[in-house]
Amino acid sequence: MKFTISKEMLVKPLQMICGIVERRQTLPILSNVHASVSGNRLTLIATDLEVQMSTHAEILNGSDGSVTIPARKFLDICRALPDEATIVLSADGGEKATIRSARSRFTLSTLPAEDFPCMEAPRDAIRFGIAQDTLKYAIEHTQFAMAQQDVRYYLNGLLMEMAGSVLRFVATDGHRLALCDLVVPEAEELEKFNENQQIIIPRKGVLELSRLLEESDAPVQVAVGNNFIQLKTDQIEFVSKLIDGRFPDYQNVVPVNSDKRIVCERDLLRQALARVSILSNEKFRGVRLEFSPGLLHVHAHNPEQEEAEEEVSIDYDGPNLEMGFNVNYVQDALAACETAQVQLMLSDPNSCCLIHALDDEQCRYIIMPMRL
Amino acid sequence: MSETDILPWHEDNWRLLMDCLDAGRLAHALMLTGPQGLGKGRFARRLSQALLCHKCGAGGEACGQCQGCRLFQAGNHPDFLTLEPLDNKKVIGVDQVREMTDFLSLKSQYGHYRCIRIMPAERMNENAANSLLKTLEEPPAGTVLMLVTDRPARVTATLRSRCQKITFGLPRRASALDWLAPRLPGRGREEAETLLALANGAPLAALALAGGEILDHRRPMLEDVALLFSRQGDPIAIAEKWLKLDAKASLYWLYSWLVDMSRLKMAGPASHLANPDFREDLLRISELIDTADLLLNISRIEKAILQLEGQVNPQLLLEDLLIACEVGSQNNEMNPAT
Repeated sequence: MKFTISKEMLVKPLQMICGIVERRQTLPILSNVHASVSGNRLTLIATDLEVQMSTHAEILNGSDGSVTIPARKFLDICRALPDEATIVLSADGGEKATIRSARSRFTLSTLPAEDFPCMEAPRDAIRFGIAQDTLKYAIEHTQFAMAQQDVRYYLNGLLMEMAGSVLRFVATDGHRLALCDLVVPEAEELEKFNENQQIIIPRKGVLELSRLLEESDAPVQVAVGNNFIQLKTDQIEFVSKLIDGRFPDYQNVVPVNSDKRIVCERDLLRQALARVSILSNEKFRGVRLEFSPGLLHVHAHNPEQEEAEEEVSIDYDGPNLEMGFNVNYVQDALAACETAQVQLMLSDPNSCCLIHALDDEQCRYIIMPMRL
Repeated sequence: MSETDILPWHEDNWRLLMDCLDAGRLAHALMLTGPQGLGKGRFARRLSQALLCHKCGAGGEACGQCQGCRLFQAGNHPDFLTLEPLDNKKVIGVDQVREMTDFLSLKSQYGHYRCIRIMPAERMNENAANSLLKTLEEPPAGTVLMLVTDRPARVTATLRSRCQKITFGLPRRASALDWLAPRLPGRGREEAETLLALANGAPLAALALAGGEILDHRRPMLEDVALLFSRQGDPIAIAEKWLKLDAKASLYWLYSWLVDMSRLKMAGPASHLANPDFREDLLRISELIDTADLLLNISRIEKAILQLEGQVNPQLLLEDLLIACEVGSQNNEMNPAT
């Protein structure tokens, strides 16, 4: 295999995929990048067995073939070359590959391309297209509620549920839950599936995705198979393995008969909570919220017997209600709402609280109360 | 010899598992046990490759051609994991087991099986064994865990009871020799027979002995023992010398000689020995020590062999043991009546 490419064409795609090449690898070949040439197209693949990324670059000329070379070193070499450089890489199937550029010459060790554990694109997959910014919005408005290294491994990820033309994302760590609904424009494929199709994308894949997706309405093609989810944009193809487990029945958790409706200014409430939380217990982060008609009383104290109190005016005309919450969970939900006013739905001190933007239930957040 | 050679004494167990597989009854947790040097780890490897192969051939054997086999042979198969003590460590730690749990929480890459080989399983420390329990009891679908051990009694009982036990027995002497002799170029069948006896009948262990240097040191080491028992040797100097060779191997040889001596004492000069080549010398040395001390020393060495696997200073251990042996024979001399 041999190819000639200009530095500027190569460095960016290479940089994009090198992020997932971990330094500490269990398998030596995973620190390599898989490079293959077909026609005038160079494909680069990197994987850590959990996620895989591949990018393309146009080459000036070359001969078909494939090889794997150490990713970091390859990137460092390319980056260090002058901007206008032309890079020639050749590998003759032996144990070495050579990189030449003007008066520089590097020899890198290689491993056979056939030994690289590529993830195959999912067969008999569900496919649909969606705008990048829409998907990014949904991920960013739910991912903070994912569990981290929980023994209930199915919580360490984001649920994607395909039900009719609605694409729903749910994340929970057992204490709070975030839910976001998207309407998929080209949903014919989805509607073919009568039953709700659920997959869980692992935490790492989710974080990588929210980094990759751009704030533009350019489309991304999604393919969901049994073991993988694949997302494809113009520049990059991303594959993540799925979590092998069943997500808990989240629908039972969503409160439906909350009769106490509270509307308040989001920023006022956030700032008040931020101040009060300074004196809440550092471990449990508990704050007491006392709702009374027109007024919310926020109260916190810590083991050193220090106390904080705040009053926030709210729109509420029900009976008095006193509840405890983990302030971090409330803050996360409020931060994600993004509108001037938010709506809290409550029923009694032992039931969970539903938070969403005023008159907008696309994203909903559910928080379990604390006993203080 | 390559890692993938099929070992003839595996066939019974192999067929047993293949029958289970065909019937869809392959257990998700197997414990492969039996004496050291029978290739149990290789059996686990062979089974894993067969399970991960995309198109298994006759007898359930892996094809060796498909992408799965290719990745497996390169040691890169994403659905295969081996847990063994990390470099410079003696135990399999809890972090390694947790990594395995993370590995199992994701779906398999090729949609076939996922295979995990833990060897030696008795090296898992208590925390590691405990964190394995849950997975071992109810792993995700399509998972096969293989615990390889030659000391099942040292594996936590809660782990043992959750595994189907596959026991490997020593092959018959004749068939083991048939396998061993052609693999020892330049050595006669008689020499192969001695090696096999030295390895307690385990062919792979015999092969490893033939390849190592320790055999050349056996004779001088036995002379050291003779000196020790006749109170002419310096236990500290001998310990230092043996330590340089290999503490574990020297303990093993010492053990096997002492056991042979007790056989000679109790069953007469014609008894079956693990060291048939040293029969004369062992008979001579056994005269220097009485039976009670011999048995006492044997149990001391057994204990020392176990201690050597833990956190113990091998030099002190060896010195202590050899001094005890010497003192034992001194007492003998002072009180010939006992």
